[in-house]
Amino acid sequence: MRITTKTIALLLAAGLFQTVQAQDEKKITFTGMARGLYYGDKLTQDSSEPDTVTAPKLNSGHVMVDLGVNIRPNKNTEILGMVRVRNDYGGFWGSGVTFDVRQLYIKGVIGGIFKYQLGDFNYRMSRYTFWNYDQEVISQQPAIFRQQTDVINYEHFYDNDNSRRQQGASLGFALVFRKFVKELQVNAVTTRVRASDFAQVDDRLFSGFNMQLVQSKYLNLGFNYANLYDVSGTSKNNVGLRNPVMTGTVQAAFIFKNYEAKLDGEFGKSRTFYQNSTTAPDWNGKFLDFSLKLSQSKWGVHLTGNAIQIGSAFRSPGTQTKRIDFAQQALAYTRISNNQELRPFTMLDLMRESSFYVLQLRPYLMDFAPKYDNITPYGDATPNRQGMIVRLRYEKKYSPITAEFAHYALQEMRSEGTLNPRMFSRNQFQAEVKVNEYFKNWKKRFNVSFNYRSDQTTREGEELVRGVDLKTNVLSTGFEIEVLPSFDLMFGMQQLNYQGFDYTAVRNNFSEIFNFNEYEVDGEETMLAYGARYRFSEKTFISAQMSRFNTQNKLSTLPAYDLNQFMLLFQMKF
Amino acid sequence: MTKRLTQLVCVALTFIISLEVQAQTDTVKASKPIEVIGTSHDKNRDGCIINLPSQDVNLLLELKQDKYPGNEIGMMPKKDPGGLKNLQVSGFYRFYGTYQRQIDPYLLNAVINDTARGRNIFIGDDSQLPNLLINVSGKPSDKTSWGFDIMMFQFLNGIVGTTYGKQIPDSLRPDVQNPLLGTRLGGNLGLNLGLNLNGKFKTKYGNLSVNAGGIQWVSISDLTMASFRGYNRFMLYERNPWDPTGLALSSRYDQYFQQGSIDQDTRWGNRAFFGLVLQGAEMPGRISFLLMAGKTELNGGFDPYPNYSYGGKIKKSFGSKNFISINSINSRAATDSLSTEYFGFSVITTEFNLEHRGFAFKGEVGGGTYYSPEHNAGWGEQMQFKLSTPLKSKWPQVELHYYRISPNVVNNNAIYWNTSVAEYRVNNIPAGSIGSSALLIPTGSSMVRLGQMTNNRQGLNLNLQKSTKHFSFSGGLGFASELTPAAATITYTNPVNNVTRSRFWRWTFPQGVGPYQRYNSIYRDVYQAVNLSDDSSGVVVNEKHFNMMEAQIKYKGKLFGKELFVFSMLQANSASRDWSPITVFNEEAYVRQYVSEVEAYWAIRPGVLINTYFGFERTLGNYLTDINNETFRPRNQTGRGIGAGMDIDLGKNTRLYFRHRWYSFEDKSFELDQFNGRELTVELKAFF
Repeated sequence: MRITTKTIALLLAAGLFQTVQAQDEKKITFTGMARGLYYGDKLTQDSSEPDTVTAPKLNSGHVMVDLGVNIRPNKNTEILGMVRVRNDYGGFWGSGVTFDVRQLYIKGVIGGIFKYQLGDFNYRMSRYTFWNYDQEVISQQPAIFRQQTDVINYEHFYDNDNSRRQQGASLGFALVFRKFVKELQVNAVTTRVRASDFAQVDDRLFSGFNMQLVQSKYLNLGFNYANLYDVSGTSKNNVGLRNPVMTGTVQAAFIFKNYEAKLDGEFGKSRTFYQNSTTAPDWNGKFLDFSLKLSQSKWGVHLTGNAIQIGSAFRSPGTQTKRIDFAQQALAYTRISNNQELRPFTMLDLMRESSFYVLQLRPYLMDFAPKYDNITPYGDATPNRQGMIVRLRYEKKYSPITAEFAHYALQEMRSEGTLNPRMFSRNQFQAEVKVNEYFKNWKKRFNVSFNYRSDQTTREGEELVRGVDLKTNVLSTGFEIEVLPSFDLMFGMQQLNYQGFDYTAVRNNFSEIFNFNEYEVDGEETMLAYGARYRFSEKTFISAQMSRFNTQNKLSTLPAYDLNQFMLLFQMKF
Repeated sequence: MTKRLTQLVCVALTFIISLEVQAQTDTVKASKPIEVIGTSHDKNRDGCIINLPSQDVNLLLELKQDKYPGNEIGMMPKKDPGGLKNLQVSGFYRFYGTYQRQIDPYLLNAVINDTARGRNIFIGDDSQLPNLLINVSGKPSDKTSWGFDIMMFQFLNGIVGTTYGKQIPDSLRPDVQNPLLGTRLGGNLGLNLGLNLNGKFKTKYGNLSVNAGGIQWVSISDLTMASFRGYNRFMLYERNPWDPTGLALSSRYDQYFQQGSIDQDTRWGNRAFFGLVLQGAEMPGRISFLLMAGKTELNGGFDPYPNYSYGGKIKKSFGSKNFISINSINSRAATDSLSTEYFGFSVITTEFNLEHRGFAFKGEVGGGTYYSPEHNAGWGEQMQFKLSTPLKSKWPQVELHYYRISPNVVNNNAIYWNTSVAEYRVNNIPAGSIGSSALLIPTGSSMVRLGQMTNNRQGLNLNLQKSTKHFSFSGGLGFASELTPAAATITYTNPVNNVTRSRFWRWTFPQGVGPYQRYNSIYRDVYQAVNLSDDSSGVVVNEKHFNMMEAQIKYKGKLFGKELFVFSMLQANSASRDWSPITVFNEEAYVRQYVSEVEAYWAIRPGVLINTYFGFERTLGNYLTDINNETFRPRNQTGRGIGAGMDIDLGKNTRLYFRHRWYSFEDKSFELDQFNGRELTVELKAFF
């Protein structure tokens, strides 16, 4: 009897231990996102004759869940399969439902040392090798507009860290030394950009390697190698792309009391060529980007001077592939007016049309919209730029206000179509104020943001070539004020106007310029929105907003029009 | 050059690592040579420390790199995104099979000369009723949740392939050798009730909750948005898809005897809704509210043009059960893509409930209007009042119900039917499909069950109920009259074998079918139309008057020591030209119908219960209704149904139900309208 009792007690103890263990290390957890989104739109055209063709009122929406199952078969391995279940607005009894796979990967640690991931993942290297720059115009908006932009960004795996979604395998580890050098980080990645069709299209891969040597907090050296290339022999086509990019980075800091000087630089070169092709160009490009930042932490003043020189032949698909494909057409109100003319995209479309956005690397320079950004359409890695950028920033610990003024003075390294290079000038001012922090007992949030950007592109004209003068101004401001606990009222305004003339390059399949198109614009776009939001938690909120968008292009045959939008968004991230 | 440099770095690193790992292996006994400081699941640190004897070359291997934010390189993000607090899975499995043996060929569709087959095997129930329904819900936080259901169909149709793809067009069906091509997730897998997001939050002004998505089950009030619940007088022999299994085999019948109703699922009494619903409770002054905007099933479909409903209620409570509320529902849909014209309706009512010592006075009064490019008769009144005596007294409980609904009020989301206004048809979607408006055409002047209301009618119903230990009585009688002469048509259903009859037309809901093209099939029901000839040159001049009489007696006792339940019901209904306080039993009535049904459930042993059913109905028309060209007589219909079956307990929450029915129907005046046969249904249902 004693033995039996003891045995039972032991079994119970063992069972309890197992239960506790199972609770400590959950083998399966769930992550993902749930969202309900509704749009109600109304189009009003400023036309003498009423439009009797275009549907003025449109409704759309959906409810969806991305349910990711994290499976941990052992403590060093994690598998994630994410399913998307979506139900479109208006669907009853199963109609309008779609199922799909959103992402799938396995990751873990080999031998306790090498961290790996296989399948879908986000990856980032340096700013000139593999970096996903923000989209134009809509990246520095007030919070009320960012809700829509965040939906687009989530859909396309655009995280705040500027990483890029890829499919492949990656490996990383770090060596931390005790003497002379603090740390050496090593990362390597290979992703499949395109699969062979076994006929004329090769497999296309992207491979990257990075080594980061952290000597101390004063010195950080890096080496990056990235290559987008076709794998010869995977199809009958013997012409294959090669686009290696190699860069070095340096970060050095000097700190004395409240003063700090930081040197941050990246330099390197690229080569773009097509193996076994006699017609394709073979380009070698170089770039140099150094900045010196001087800070006085007590005053919160930071002054940065940045010198850049990006060669016109510098090609780095990992960083120059844009988020927006401006060759696409808006799906909402694609054609308007009685003549059913194509409606040019606007910044409102960029905020909500998923069809504009791309995920995969492009081996060529994509189209861009000069009216939105003619100076840095490919981010910092925009080719054919040289000059200076100066930034003066105010940012101080515990200070409610952050402000920055930036001035760009750039020009083309190689002029296009004439002997005169384009000159680029940008002035940008942005500020964010946490108004409530000025008051001791005001705990609720009250954030105000302001952003102004003024761009100008000029080039002197010649006898047969018209002078270039293109101006873009973007003004945005907004606030969010917490009137009840977790309940915010929001307001935002963004105005964009553009006027002037430029030429846009017409490129062939190898991105060589073979012609120019005249590009003349004179118009403006204005968005105004107000709404309310309730935050259940930092990751969950429900928001309703009304916005009014107005645009007019004086050089277009399309009438000016207003687009009133009601949006309801209920979002949960977990 | 690049290749060489890469190779060099790799070789150097490999050499260093192998050297140091070898070094620590040699000195493994010295002092804990390898110390794991974390894994990929540790949010703080990743990697391991290798302590080596030489102070100059000791290494720390660490994978976490967020010590240098902004300079992170490699796999992103570096931080674990977190996860759900709770995930729940529930649902049910339901197998439903039907075997029908039709003795005589019955003309289903005279136009295409389609007759009912002699034998019919059908696995499945309806296009909205799956074999497996899995409800999945997750809670990202204590205050928020989401949920969806997955439904799966299985028809046992012999198509054994890589997928269940019966409803996927052949052109899209994946090849067996290449299942990744074509449509894979299709007809047999989907969401039934859709996907919902829920959130709730407490404020000092009350508790608020918000629900987005659909389908949500919503009701506001009888005259705005709800579905008919009736007086719980129905037969249990024909099982409904939504019927629960009950804790014990006989608990369903016992509950029906004791309480007069049985558990129903969430949709009972409610309407399907897709959109946003905001609710507030426990607000200052005992006020609560409900606001909603989105689509009811009648607005369903994917056209982007305006087509929506909105409404809500605000309610002020007094005491424990007393309240007053203001309710409204509005539907608005564009008739064209330019949204130049609209059709829809608006309804607003005020509702109250007053109770004192068990006496209850409940009412709802309001108005409504229906508009379309073809109709705009303005606002009309609608109201209903109910006065009831206490339930627990030695006297029978009595309820008096009065209602009046103007012909101008149309609201297909309410519990009353539209019989007066020819509604605008926004599309030509076939009847029975989502978004179809085909069924909204008035069904004529309907003969309805006691308590069921229609517009263009006012009526008074009296109901009584009384229970003893072994017997329970529930019954009532009522009359209703049209407010204005409506269509020269009367519609009615045949209660005996009605669901069986609806299964003649599977998964379509045709109109104007049957031997004389007078039957209309709807979900689990078939009704027939009677044409009247007492009009004046095509203009209807006579109001119709309706009388209903229902009596239900329930018995609970024992037979040979085993539980026995017997439920019986009588109905006598008529539609006539002249008003009458009770059912018209002579030829003054256009149509009169008498129905008698009895069913018994006997638990012969634990886990096994046998049941029987008997139904008989007579429906007679007078000479102002359709006359047969050969017999020169009006309707003279007789329906019979005899059933026997068995309920078997297969374990917790799992039941097996057999139902066998001998059915027959004949119209002596219309000889083609007759059928008889047998039907066996098998249902296996398990909840989890």
